[in-house]
Parts: sequence; C-alpha cells; structure tokens
Amino acid sequence: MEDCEIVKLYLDRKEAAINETKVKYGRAIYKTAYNFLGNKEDAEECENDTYFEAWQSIPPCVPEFLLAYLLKINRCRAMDRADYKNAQKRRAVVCELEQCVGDKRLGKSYIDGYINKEYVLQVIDDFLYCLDREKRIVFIKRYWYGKSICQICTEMCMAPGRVKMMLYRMRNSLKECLMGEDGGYGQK
Amino acid sequence: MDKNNVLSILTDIDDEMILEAFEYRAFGNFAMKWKIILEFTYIVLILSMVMK
Repeated sequence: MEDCEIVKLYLDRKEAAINETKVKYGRAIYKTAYNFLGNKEDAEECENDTYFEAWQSIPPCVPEFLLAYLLKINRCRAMDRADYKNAQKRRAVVCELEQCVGDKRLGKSYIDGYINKEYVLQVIDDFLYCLDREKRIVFIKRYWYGKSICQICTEMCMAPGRVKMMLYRMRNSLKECLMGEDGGYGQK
Repeated sequence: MDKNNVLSILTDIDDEMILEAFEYRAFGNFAMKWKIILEFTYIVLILSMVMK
C-alpha cells in the first residue's frame, strides 16, 4: 500500500491504518528503536508507542513522508526510554556526540539550557547538506539511526578504520560549525 | 526528554536526509553481495590459472 493511502486511512480514522503501517514499516521502526535500546522488549514497546502516537497525531498532522514521520516519533520515544533506563550507562553514540556540544572547555554545557535549539538544528542541517553524500549517510546512520560501526561498514562497504576516521573528522567539523562566529550555540 | 541534548535536536533534521540514509542501505547490501561474488570469482579464476 502506498504511503498516501495509509495516511488516508489515518485521516479517515480507520484502524487498518495501524496494521498497514506495521506491515510496511514495522521492521524499520523496531530496528531503529533496537539500535538505541539494545533490548527486544523495550524496542517492541517503543514500536507500539510509535503506532499509538501516530494514531493520535494524524490528524491534525498530515505527514508528507510517512516513514520519516514515524521514525522521528520512534526515535524520540526510544531516546526517552534510553534516558530513563540507561542514565548511568550512556550508549557510545550519545557519548560521541556529547563531545560536540557538551564540551566543558566551552563553558556552555548543553545541560545548562543555554542552547538555542533552532539555531543548532539549522547549523546541523546546513552542515549535513554541505557534506558529500557518502559522509552524510554515514553520519546519519551513526547518529540518527544509532547504528554500530560494524553495521555501517557492512551497509556502506567500508573498512571500520575509514568509518571511524570519517566520523571523528565530521564530529570535529560539526563542533567548529556549532562554535560559529559568536562563540557558540547561538546562545541567547 | 532533555530537549537540549544534541541527539534529541538531531531528531528534527530534514526528512529527505533521513530517507536518503534509510534507502542507501539496500544498495549497500546489494553492492556488498556483488562485491563478495566478484571477489570469489576472481580468486577461483586465479586459482584455476595457477593450477594449469
């Protein structure tokens, strides 16, 4: 079934929408949650939360890209759950990116609540669009989908060393972009 | 959720970039399979030439 037909089912408040979503995108949703949670039961709960939230939010929302919409909900729920369950044991993917924005040398840790979210999002969007396609995909696979280096190597046909070096350089570049001309993060 | 966490902020990046990375996987797997098949064929060819 096409995405627009599934969205129409949501808009018509037909419960078949959830089944069709599960058939078409269930696996992708589950795997994205699993990447962040590393636990089958939590990933399944997260998948179900995603269907529920999609059911509640469409309408009023009418997503242009259904998969991206569902994965965004799923990622938020997975991160909520990951924060709750792994407060002490933070996953590697989180720690890596914290180097970009949580650097204490800058005196503006993200925890302080000083970050201008819109500014950071715009910088990240611009940064990603400026990258080569291959680099951009590696970055998103790692930090958006939360995939392991090993998974990325298999999917991209690359050596682990190359992926690690690529990610390291991109993190440094992103950090420089986030610092910007005004000293960082679009601080208000 | 800590909305100020950069990983959380990253959630809202452009939909097209998310889909681009998602779709690239299929090609990656496809390419990987063909790469393995070609490498295997190459080794077999080399071996058969050496054996002659």
